[in-house]
Amino acid sequence: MITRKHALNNALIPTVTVIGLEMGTNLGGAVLTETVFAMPGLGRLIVDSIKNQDTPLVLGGLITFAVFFSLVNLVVDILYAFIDPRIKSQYK
Amino acid sequence: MSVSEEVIKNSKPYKKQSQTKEIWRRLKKNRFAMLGLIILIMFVLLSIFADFIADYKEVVIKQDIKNRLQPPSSEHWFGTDEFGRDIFARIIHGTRISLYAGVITVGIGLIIGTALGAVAGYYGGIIDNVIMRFLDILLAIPNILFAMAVIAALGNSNLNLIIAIGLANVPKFARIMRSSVITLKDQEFIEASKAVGASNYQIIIRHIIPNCLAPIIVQTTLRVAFAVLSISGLSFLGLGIQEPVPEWGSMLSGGRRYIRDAGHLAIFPGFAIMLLILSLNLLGDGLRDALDPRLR
Repeated sequence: MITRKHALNNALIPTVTVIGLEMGTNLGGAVLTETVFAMPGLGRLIVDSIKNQDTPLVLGGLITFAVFFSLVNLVVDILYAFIDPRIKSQYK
Repeated sequence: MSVSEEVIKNSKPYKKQSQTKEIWRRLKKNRFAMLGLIILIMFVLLSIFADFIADYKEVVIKQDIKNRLQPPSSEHWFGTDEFGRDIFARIIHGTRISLYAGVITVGIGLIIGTALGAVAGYYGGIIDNVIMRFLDILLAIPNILFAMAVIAALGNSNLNLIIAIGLANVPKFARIMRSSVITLKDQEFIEASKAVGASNYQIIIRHIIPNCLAPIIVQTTLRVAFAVLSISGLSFLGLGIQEPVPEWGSMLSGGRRYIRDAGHLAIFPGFAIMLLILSLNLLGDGLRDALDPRLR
């Protein structure tokens, strides 16, 4: 119970931060993985459209990725309020 | 003789240790960091003497289809690729390209990022806000995707690749610099400098930046590792450095088709990428431990 309530909460703060940041790195890595394993995903679509000079598709794909990344970071910031009591107290 | 006189007589004189020697001593104690440093020095030496080991036009670029896809032998240490070029020579010249590109991109990010971060942290207020919001825009897009966007917009050349990855490195350095500057800004020695009459420029250059260098140095080594990885990844996709320049990522991409019959085409460049990034990461971790003020 002590571990769950106190140690876990304090340990989760940098963990959740890094999860949010690594999501961005993994989006970039997903592009490479999809190209290597020929999976029909958004990453491979972006790479192929760069090679085909299809600029609107590149823009759309990148905006989708950027919005997804920003949403993940938003969720991370909201999670801070649940795990860190210092931040929770600012919003009571 | 009294006890105190004996103590004074037998004690060694106090030798002032310089900071750099102290940091180097702590770094030397870390075995992995020394291993990383040795491997990195080996790569740097290879890249400096690349032209003496294998001539560029003859060995690296010239194709020799009779000899294609040879396995490793005494004549070609790592075998030949699908055009008959010696893979060992290509890997050595690729070291030069990876290291140049990595260092230049991180150099761009370092200079611009630390300048922006120092200005934003020192002056504060609306300048801080504006600069940080611009950098948040750069941070909102992952590194490799941002480089791909710049290459799609500006075209597929080496200079665009370096600009792209350099720009992506700027906000990382700016954030670290800004947080260090904000902590230092209210210290008493800065107040003393202002009282003596030093200009803002002099305070930033002479007092604030040297005190913030520790995390910047660590971040530099780690960002060079990531820059090498990004450049290899983009070249693998065909978006970075173009053939016939022997970049490790494009060597991997070319060897992908032959991975079942002639695995050495992909194994050796992949191993080289892994080794260089591993050595940079080990060195960066070791530097972080050595520069940590809490362990002093």
